Amino acid sequence: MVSYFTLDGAGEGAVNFQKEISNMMHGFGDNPNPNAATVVLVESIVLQQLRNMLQDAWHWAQMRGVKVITNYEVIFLMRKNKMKLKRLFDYQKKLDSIEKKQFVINNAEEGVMSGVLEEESDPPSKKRRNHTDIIKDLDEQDEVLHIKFDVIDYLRKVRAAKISEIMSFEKYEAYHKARCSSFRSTGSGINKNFAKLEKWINSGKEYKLMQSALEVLSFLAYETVADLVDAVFLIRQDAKKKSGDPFSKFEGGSFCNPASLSNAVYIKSGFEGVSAITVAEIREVIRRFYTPTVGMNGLFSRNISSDISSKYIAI
Amino acid sequence: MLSSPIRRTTPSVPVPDWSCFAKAKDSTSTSHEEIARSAANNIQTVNTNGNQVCNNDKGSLQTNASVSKQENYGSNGLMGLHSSPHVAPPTPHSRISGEIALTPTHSSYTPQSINPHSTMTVLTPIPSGPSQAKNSIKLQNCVSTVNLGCELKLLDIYCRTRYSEYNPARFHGVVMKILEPRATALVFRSGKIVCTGARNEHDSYIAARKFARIIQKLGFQAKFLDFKIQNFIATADLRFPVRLEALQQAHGQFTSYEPEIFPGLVYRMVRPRVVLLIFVNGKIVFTGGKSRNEISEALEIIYPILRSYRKN
Repeated sequence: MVSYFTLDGAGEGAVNFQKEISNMMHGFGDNPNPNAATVVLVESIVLQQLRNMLQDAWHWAQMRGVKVITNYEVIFLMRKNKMKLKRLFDYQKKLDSIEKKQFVINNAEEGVMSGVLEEESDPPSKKRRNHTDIIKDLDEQDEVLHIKFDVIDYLRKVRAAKISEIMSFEKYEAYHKARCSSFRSTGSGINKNFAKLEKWINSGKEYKLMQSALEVLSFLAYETVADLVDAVFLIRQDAKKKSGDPFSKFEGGSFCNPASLSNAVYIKSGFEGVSAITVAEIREVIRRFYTPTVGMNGLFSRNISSDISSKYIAI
Repeated sequence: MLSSPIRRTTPSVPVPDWSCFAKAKDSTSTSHEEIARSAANNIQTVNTNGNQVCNNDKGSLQTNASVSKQENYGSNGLMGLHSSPHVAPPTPHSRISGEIALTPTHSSYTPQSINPHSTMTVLTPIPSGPSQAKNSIKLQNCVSTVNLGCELKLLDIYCRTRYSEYNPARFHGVVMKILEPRATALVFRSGKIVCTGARNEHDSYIAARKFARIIQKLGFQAKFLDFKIQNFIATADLRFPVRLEALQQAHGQFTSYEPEIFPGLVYRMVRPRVVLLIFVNGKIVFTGGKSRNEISEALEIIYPILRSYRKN
C-alpha cells in the first residue's frame, strides 16, 4: 500500500525533457535516433545550468530587494554576452509577431472574441515589461542594436537546410516535427505555457518565478542544447585534423564551419550517416568549455584576471 | 497573302472544301509518287487558301464520319482520329454542299467496321497545378469595420440584447453574436464595430448591417458609416510538400521560420501586401489581404516559388 503511493509520487510526479531534448538534438543535426545515454547527460547538464541560473537570478533579485524572479534578473545574467542578448531580442520579436498572427487566425476559426487591428483594443501593450525593453535598458552603449547579423542563427539555418536537402519526405516530416520541439509545454499556439519547465527546474517551489522569467529560461535551455550540439560538430571537425595537412579539416564530415559547408561531403552516405553524438563527445565539449587554453582566459593571455570564464554554456 | 484571285466568302455553316480532298481521295488508290505529288498539292492548297483549310478543320469537329473519312489523308489529327483501315469508296455525289453533307443520314454515309468514337482518344480536361491550387482557395474569415457615428452605452446594449457578453475587466467592448449569418461583433463605446467570423464579404456586410440595426432598435442614433473590409483570411492547399529550410535560405528578407516557436514559415509579401503562413505539408494560410484579388494574386506569385522548393 505504502509502496504504491511512493511509486506514484516518484514515477508520475517526476518531469523530464528527454523526449524533447532528443528531438532537439535531431533537429540540430544529430542522428534521428540520438544516443539515449547522451540525451540523459544533456538533460542533466541543462537542468544543472538552469538551476544555477535560478540561484544567481535569485541572488540578484534579493540585491534589488524584490521577492520574485522576473525576466529582468535572468536577462541581467546574460548582460555580458551581447550576441545572446541580440538573439533573445530577435526571439522576442518573432514570438510577438507570431503570437499576434495566431491570435487573428484563432479568431478566424473559432469566431472567438478578440481585439484585432483596432485602436481601441490594446491588451498587449499594457503587458509586463518586455524582454526587448530590458535589453535596451541594459545595453547602454547600443552594442546589441548594432549587431546586424546573427552568425549563430545563420549557421544553424544553413546546417538545417543542408541536412534537409536530400531527405525523403517521410524523414523530412519527422525532422520537421523534431525541430518543432521546445521547452514550452505541448499545447497549440499561445496556450503553450511553461508549467512543465517550472516543475522541472523549480520542483519544490523554492523560488517565485514570473512567467516572463520562465520564457527567458526556456530560451536559454534551448540555446544550451543547441550550443552543445554545435560544439560537438566543432570537436568532430578537430578530430579529423591530420598533422601536416592544413586543409584536412575542410574535407567535410562536419558541418559547423561554413568553409566545410561548400563541399558538403558529409551528406554522401545519406543523412543517417551522421553518427549519434556520444557521451564522450559531450564530455569533451564540457571539458573544453570550462578549461579554455586560448583566448581571453587562456594561460598565455595577457589580461588573465579580467574575468573568469562564464559559468553557463548558453550565456 | 492569299494569292488566289477569288476570295471566297465564309459560309455560316462550315463547309468542307471538297476540291482539295478530291485530289487526296484519288491518291489513296494510286502509287506513291502520286501521293507525294498530291501531298505537295495539298500543301499548295494550304498555302493558297489557308483560310479555307482552317475553316475545314473547324468544320470537321462537327461533321459526321463520312466527312472525316474523306479527310483522312489530309487530316492533321485534330480530332485524334487514327486513319482507319477501311477506306471509303469514292462516292459519286460527294460534292453536295450545305447542311445535308453534315448529317449522318446522308447517302454518302457508310457503315464502318470500327466505331469512330472508339478510335478517338479521350482528353479529360485536367486542371494544371496552379489552377488547382487556385481552386482550393477557401475564404475562412472576413473582418470588417463600420462606424455607427454615435456614442454607445455598452452596459445598456449588453443588458438588452441576447447572445452578448460584456466583461470590462477583460475586454472593454461588448461581444455580440448573431446566428444568421454566423458572425461576431465587437462593439466599442465610440460607436465602432468590428465584425468577424463571416465567411465572405457579402455575409460580413449583411452581418454588420444587422448589428447596426439591432443597436439602432435599442434607441441609439446609429448610422452606417464607412463600412470597410479590413482583412480576409483564406486557406489554400498546394498538394505537395515544401522544404521550408531552403525557402528560408533563399528568401531570407521576407521570411521567418522558427519551427521551435511556430511550425510554419511566415512569408511577408510586399506586393500585394499579404502575409502567408506556409506549412510543410503544402497548406497555406493567407492573412492581411484586403480583397479576394490580392489573395489569388499572392498565390499566383508564390506558386512557382514554392514549386521550386518542392520536397519529393
